[in-house]
Amino acid sequence: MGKNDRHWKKTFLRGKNEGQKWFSLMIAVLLILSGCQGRKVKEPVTITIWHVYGGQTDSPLNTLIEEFNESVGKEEGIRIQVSGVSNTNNIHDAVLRAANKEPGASELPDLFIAYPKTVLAMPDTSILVDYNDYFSPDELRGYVREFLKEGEIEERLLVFPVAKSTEIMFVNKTLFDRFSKETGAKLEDLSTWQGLFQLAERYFEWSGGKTFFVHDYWFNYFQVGVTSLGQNFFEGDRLNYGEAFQTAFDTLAEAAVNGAVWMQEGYATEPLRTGDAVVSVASSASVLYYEDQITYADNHSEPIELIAMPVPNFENGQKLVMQRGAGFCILKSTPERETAAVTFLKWLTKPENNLRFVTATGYMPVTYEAFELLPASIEKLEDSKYQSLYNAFRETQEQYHFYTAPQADWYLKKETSFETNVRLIFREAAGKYKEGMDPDRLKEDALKNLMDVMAK
Amino acid sequence: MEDNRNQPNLRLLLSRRQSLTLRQRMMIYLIFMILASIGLVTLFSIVGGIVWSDERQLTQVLENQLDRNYQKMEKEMEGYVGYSFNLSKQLSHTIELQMGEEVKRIEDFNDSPQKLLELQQNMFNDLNTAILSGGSNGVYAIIDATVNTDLENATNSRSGLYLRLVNINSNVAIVPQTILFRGNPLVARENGLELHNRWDLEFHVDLVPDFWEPASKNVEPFECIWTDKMQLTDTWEDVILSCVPIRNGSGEFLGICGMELNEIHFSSDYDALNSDYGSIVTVMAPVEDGKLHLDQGMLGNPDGTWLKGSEILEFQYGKKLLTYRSDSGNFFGLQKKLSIRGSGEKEWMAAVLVPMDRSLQLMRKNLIIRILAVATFVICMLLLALYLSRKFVQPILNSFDDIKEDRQEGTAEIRIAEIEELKEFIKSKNQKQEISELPKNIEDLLSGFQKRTITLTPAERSLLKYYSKDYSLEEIAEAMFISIGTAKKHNTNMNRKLEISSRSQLMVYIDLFRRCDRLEDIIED
Repeated sequence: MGKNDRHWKKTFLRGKNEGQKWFSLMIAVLLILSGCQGRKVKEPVTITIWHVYGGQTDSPLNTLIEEFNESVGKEEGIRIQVSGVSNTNNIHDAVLRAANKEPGASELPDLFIAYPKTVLAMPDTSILVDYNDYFSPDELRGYVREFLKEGEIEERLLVFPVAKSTEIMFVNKTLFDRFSKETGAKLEDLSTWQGLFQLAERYFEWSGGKTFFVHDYWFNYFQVGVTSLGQNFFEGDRLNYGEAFQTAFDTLAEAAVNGAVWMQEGYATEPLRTGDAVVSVASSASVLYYEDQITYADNHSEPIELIAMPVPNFENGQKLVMQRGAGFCILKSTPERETAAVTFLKWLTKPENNLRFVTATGYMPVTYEAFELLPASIEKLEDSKYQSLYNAFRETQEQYHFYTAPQADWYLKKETSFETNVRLIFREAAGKYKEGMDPDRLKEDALKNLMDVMAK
Repeated sequence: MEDNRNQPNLRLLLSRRQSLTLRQRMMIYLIFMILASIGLVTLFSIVGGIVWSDERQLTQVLENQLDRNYQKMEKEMEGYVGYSFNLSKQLSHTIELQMGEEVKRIEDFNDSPQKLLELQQNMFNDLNTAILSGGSNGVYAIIDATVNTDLENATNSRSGLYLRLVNINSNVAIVPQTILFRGNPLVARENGLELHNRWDLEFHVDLVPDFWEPASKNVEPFECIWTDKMQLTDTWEDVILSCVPIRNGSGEFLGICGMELNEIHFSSDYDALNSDYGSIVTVMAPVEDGKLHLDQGMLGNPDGTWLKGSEILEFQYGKKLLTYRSDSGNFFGLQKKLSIRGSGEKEWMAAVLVPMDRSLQLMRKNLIIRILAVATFVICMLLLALYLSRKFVQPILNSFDDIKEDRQEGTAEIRIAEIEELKEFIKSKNQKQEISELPKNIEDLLSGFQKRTITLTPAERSLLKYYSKDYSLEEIAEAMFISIGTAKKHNTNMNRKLEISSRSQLMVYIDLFRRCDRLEDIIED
């Protein structure tokens, strides 16, 4: 190797080192630049939700969701998007269709409302998030133990409570007072089923053939009633038509056959809004659907006072009331989405938010702390309808035991079938009664028909 | 001496290595320089947005999405309009059938609850058919009559039916469940429908204020007009309604009917497209004063953005894309005019929007990656050109050194054909120069001899030539066809002229000239 060659190589290598230095420096600058400019813009993780709070009305939960999106959601990049508001039965159907991947079914949303019965009927519950993975034991200790227990399936917490309801009796006090003024009927008569149905018959006569009472779920009337009379309503997946059932049936049947009880399809709120009924028993959450006026067939409307009372009980029966309220399930997806959904549920069940939510929708809160703060929240309520509801709630809590429906996959089918048939059978009976048929015979036939159809 | 010792090794080396010509070396160097230049041009083009422009790619993505959704919207809206006109015809027929002796004009239905109930019962089938087959979430028909004209607000209250579907999502067609939003509850009960949670007996015509009056004034032709977005009273649902007047055979105004497009349904129908540039959201909204009024239009699924249905987006035209500014952020997008007619002659647009932040973020990232890639390429090409130039020049410089230092075989490991030729040329020239530079006395001797040969006769020249070819005198005589005596005579004369005394002396001169490679100076061919 010549001298010149060595010199050149030395120069070249030094040049190469310098070149490498410059090149590395340039890349470093560009990477830093890209790092600075490439700061991740926080885009929202959009969580879809199906819920039941508000039905077709301007849902208070939707308002809270907007508030969440604008506050915590914006900070943490979470956007809750309501893609369906319906009732639990419709959502139950939609969830099962989606879970069974039926043709044309919608995809399950990230968050959806379900009763434990819905989850039990799903083909695979492993698609749902176990809340134990996202809540610490300390956090869970803040929630009412019984409410959490309802959502535990196969030792996994799959249905998370955000609000609980109970059955409540609503009375159109304006119409009742008018009826009371002329007949001497008293609100206290509504404390027992026997008293209520007797009053219904009196109202039917007094009003010239108008119905007095409507129940949202006759299935609940029977199962709570039979249980309150000391017998089991269910024998496995069949119904027990024992003495207690007979008592409940007979108490209802006379008024129903006469036509004093509303047996049309639909919710209890409907006939109350049109003045076709005076008293209803329904979920406390139905308070949202009652309006402060009734509209008559000639389009004139009348302001009314609606009050709430604890549900009637049977004479000699236990004071028992149905506890209701579904919970939220989270569909397993990515940790990011699951965390976002849980963040929303934690926010919704924070005592101050939970109280705003439940007192706007007619529910009870789900944490011990929120229960402690509930009386103060009730005092702030401006709507007398809601004040009355929460007073009835308090009375119910003080005087009643709560009944929870069995968690079984056959339950909804049984409930739907019973509900449809009992209404149909009594509608037909009432029609025949109008045609002059013997009421006792009609009652007997009605029971027989009901038992036959339920046995199929 | 050293060069001579290395001579066999170098020759061996030369025989093993292929030597590149200067021309080939220049070509390789030029190729790298051209590639570097192309790289530089590309680099400037990327920076200038001439090639690999993300904006162009984004425009393409948005155009595709817009075209797809525009076609779908036009088809869907056209379908609604068609169903609305058809419903109008059906209802006109139904109402005319209901009219008779007692009811000759639509006003005659006023204050007649039973007749209005019967009319609604008859109209139910028309509306139910439309809702089940029209793909809409709701259908309505308002009749220009009210059940009670004595009521305070009777002029704004009109009888009619509004059927709506519950469970609004993409599978409405599979599990339709109809409810009654407006109308006589007996119609609902007869047909097994539930009442809407916010049911009312009659319509308030201020639901469609912009259409009721013009439609009722017999303005012909009255196209199907779409309302701005409105929230259905006391519900959480936002809708737009198509409005078509119902007229009888003689053109008399009977009412108004149409179909509903629900924002929840629109949202589930127009899903957000997840692209590298961000979530692409589809909207359908009227334009007014350079603003896209989402608050009056329909918002597709906003998944992945903060876009809300209550916003007003101010837009500006750019080179390829439009930029939209709103409270929830800025967007790039494209829009195209729809053929539907809105209230107040507003133009409705189908538009697709993508969040600007995310797009710009990706564009910057791509730009940096491209610049880095091309810059790396350019630098590599330049470094290679530099390396090659040094690698190629060095042997030349080494060869020059060899030549300067008069190294016969040289020290360069790589040899260049042209340089080798040059060296050979110089070497031969040097040799000639060496010969031409003889000692002065010898040069004088040779020059004198050469001058003396000029005096020779042709015969004597021939004799000299034969002697240079080593002929004897006898052979020369024979070759020249002369006698030996004549040859001897010429030989004597030649020796005298050349001032030599013997043949051996002559042969010394001839040998000397030959060695000096100058034989041709004295002997002619």
